[in-house]
Amino acid sequence: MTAAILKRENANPCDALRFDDIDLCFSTGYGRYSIDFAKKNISEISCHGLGAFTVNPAIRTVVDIGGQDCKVIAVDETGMVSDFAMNDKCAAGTGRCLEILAKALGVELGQLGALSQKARRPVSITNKCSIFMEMEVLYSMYAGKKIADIAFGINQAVAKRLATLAKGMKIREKVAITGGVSKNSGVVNELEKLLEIKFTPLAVDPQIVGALGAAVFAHNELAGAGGSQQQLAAG
Amino acid sequence: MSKTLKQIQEIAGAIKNPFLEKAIAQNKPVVGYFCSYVPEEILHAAGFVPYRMRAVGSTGTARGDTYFTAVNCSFVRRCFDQVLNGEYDFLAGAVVLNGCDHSRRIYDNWRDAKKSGLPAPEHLFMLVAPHVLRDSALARYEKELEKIIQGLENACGTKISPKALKDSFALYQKRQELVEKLYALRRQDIPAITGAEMLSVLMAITAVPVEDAISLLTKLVAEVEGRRAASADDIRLMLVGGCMEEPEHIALIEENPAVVVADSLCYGARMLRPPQENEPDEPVAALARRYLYHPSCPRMINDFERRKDAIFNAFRESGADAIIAEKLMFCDLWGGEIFLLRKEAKERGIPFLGLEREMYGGGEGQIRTRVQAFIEQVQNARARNGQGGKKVV
Amino acid sequence: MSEAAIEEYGMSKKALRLLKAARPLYKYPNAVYWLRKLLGDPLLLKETNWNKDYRFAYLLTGGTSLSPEDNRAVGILLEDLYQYLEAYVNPSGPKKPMIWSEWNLSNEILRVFDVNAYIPETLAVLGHLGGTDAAVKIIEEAENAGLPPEYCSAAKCAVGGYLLNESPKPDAIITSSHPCDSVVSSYQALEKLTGAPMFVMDTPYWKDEDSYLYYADQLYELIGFLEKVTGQKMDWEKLKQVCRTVNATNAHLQEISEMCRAVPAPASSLHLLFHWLGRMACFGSPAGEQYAKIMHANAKKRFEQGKGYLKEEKVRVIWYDVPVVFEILHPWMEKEFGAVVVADFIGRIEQFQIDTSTTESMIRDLAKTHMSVTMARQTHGPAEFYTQELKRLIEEYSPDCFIFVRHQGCKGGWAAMKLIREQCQKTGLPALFLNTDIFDRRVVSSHRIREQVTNFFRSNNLA
Repeated sequence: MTAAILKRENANPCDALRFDDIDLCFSTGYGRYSIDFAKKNISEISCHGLGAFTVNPAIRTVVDIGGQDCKVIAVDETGMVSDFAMNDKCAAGTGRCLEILAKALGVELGQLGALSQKARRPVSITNKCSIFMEMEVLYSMYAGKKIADIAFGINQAVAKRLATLAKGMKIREKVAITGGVSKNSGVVNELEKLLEIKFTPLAVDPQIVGALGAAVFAHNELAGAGGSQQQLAAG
Repeated sequence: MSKTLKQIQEIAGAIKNPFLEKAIAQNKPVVGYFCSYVPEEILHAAGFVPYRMRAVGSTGTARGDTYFTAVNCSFVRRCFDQVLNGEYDFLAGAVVLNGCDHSRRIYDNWRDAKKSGLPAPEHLFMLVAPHVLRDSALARYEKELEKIIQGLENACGTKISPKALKDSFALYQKRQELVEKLYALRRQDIPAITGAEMLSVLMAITAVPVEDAISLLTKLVAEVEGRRAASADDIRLMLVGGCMEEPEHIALIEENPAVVVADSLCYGARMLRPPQENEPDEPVAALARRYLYHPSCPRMINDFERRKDAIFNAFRESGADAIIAEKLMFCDLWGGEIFLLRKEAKERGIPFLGLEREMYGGGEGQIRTRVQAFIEQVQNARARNGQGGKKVV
Repeated sequence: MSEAAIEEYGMSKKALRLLKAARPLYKYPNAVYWLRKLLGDPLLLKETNWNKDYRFAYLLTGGTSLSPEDNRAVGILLEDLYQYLEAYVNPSGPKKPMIWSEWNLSNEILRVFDVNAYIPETLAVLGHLGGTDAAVKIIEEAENAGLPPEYCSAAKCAVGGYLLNESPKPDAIITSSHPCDSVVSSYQALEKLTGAPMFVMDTPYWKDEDSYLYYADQLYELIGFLEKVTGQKMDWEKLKQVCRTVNATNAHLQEISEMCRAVPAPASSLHLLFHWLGRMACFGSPAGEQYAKIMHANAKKRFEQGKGYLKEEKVRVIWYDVPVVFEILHPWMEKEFGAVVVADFIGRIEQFQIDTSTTESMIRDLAKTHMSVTMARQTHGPAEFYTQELKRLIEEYSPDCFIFVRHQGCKGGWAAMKLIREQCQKTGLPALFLNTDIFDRRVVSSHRIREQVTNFFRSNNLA
């Protein structure tokens, strides 16, 4: 659940914001309807698109792997969504899937990326369903496979799921990756290989890009239609 | 809200309704049917009240899943679950169609349920429609209709007279004309009726005797003419897909600044058939032609071009901005159709969203997000192309 | 289409190379027999990087179970398969029309015309010749293009193969409305993707004279369509000859099917399954007939001697479902458990003989054979077509257990599962319902399938 909050003019970013400081609030994410002080809610697809574009106006594709879903978002030269694809079947390919599998493997979620870099004989996890993937992980452990090799397989499986989603769309450079899973170097590396691209790093924490996008939408509404994303980015 | 519309929504929201109950109390036997390839006129002419089967009110699939499995369609599982729960114990008969691999097994499973003493009507029929449009297929379909007529005559104990058929044709034609009026009201610059409301209408009129349907529709048309059910800035959508019987799902789509102004759905435009030709000597032949050549669904293998043209013509005539195409999980027919329609829409520069879901299956969060993002995308495109209307912001 | 450069017919070329290597070997069936024995067990158990190019072929052609006499038959069929692939991979001579035919449609009529016939679902089987990951690539291509993942993977292979340049471009397509929605749907996609004119046989729902006549009428229309797209005229004499060959082939295969009622079974359904594969290439051909004749003679000899196909037959299996293709289990089950599949869904033949005395009788009986071909006969109508046949198999084949596959493409079968299950329950015999896809190894892995089968046999005291 995220809320967009505008900076008070000339406010010190280290100061704690008060509610009265908020000029306008837009909400996004799955909990967007439950924020009663949000004037408007906007899909996280639009928000991730605009948020990434605001950070780097050269971005034209955003890959977002969040806790509950994963998406690929195409934006135009104004940061607006021109196309998108989103998983609709199950948790496979999402942060939730990684959580389940990391638990099965007996490691922390945050360790999966670093572990997979040490893989020597990667295990292939082929099933498309998170539950059956978990069984494959367990089987590999019982078969004595190395944790690092299994971790690689897990990351690769998630990356493949997203790559399948992405292949239905035209991927235009530059490409950014957002969402918590973007911090998993294993998934990121595999995705780059599968999509034959290099992600452009963003100057902000990838987990706040959606909120940033919502904030920019709110800023634009306050500023009127002439509000410029470029100005905001420079600021 | 219009009084009649409220009444219609109540009818659509339950399996039984006061009109149906009145007919049953008058000893009018009710025959359930699946699919728009089953001619309602024949059932009516035989003295039955035709009732289009639905899964409305379904709370699960526990009993349905004793016959069907997890890779079968949620409509079929839920509808059959309602059957086994006794919700359809008012039926005197049912006509199943070989619509698809899932629905055709209702005939087999229902016969088995009957043998086991589970709820089942006295008469169960299977109508077989061809998968192609051709003269030889038409002749075949006509023979199948004659078999059904024979079966119905045996069931009701009387022959269906040509006059009875003719009278039934007239009634259903009247019903259709009224539905077409409502479709015209949807196509207006400001639609007089929303997509969710329209679905309720079509579900209601197939759950009551046709005479009551005509009465309801007549009142409804009068009540909604001049109504403004949407705003000028709303994105105009066309909804395409198979089984859909949840007005609340369409309402979820229309929560956005959007309104459904056209469709190609099972409970929708595909119910609208070409006019009955005046062939007093061969009413069944004429009926067969009408039903076989009505707007098809992807079960008809050699009809994609005509189907596609009908969809894009309706899109154009309704002034729609975008298409949302839906399928239920495990539906191969609509999966392939959406694959093809997406390509066609792309060639025409028409924004296109494909959705997949389970009937009454939840997943609202994801659907809301996808639909909202799609509407935002269309709004932006409209603003960019100078077509007016609001951008997202 | 995938951006990565895909060699045209890459998989078919691989299959051709294998066949080219195998052809001369099969002139010496005894040598093949001993070579298989030598290579044997490692190939049976697991696909690895070093064996993946050969393992599938090895399993498909019977593992170590086939006798030298049976190998001779396989060699004949492989020859036709080779010619089938050569015809589109390395065409020579004047260009012939390329006609695609859906794989459950019988091709007697097509054989009469001077055309190249191609079965789009070929790659669902032959794709595995490059290892099971090769078939996955084709399936993924179809899914990435937007085809629904829940389609039968054979349909995905048909479309994916075309998108990956693995299939020759068709001049026309012929298909039918059986066996399932995946075919009904995927062929509409293929028609659109290829732009080729398509003719569809509408398969009737019932099995009665009226239905046969309806189908027969359509066969005349099919002939008209083929005459139009090929510019050729139907040769009725040649059709008669093809039908006579089909009659002889079916007679042999049907008798093999019937002989398997004997205990021990003198043949395995794998022999019949291999002919099913051969249908792509040799349905109605002299090679197909020869294969059937030799297999029949071998089986009959064993039958008359009271010998089983296996030295020690321990378990008789009715596999009333599609076989797992990416992991052909028969050779492993035979070796590991002495388990023979004595009756199955796909390989077993129940056929009419075609009366070739007049054109009318020939076309009418062709209609009957089309509707009685494997898979079509069980799926084109009500559930009784499944359950009554299963009931007969139970009564006649002395089974010890049942295996079903629950391939996600068979939704009509899934929807009748309660009725099928009840038939099994009445016998009191154990039934295994495998969870797998038959072409796509991503769904359930090979080791997991073998694990399920092993646990089933052991926990039911069958091993």
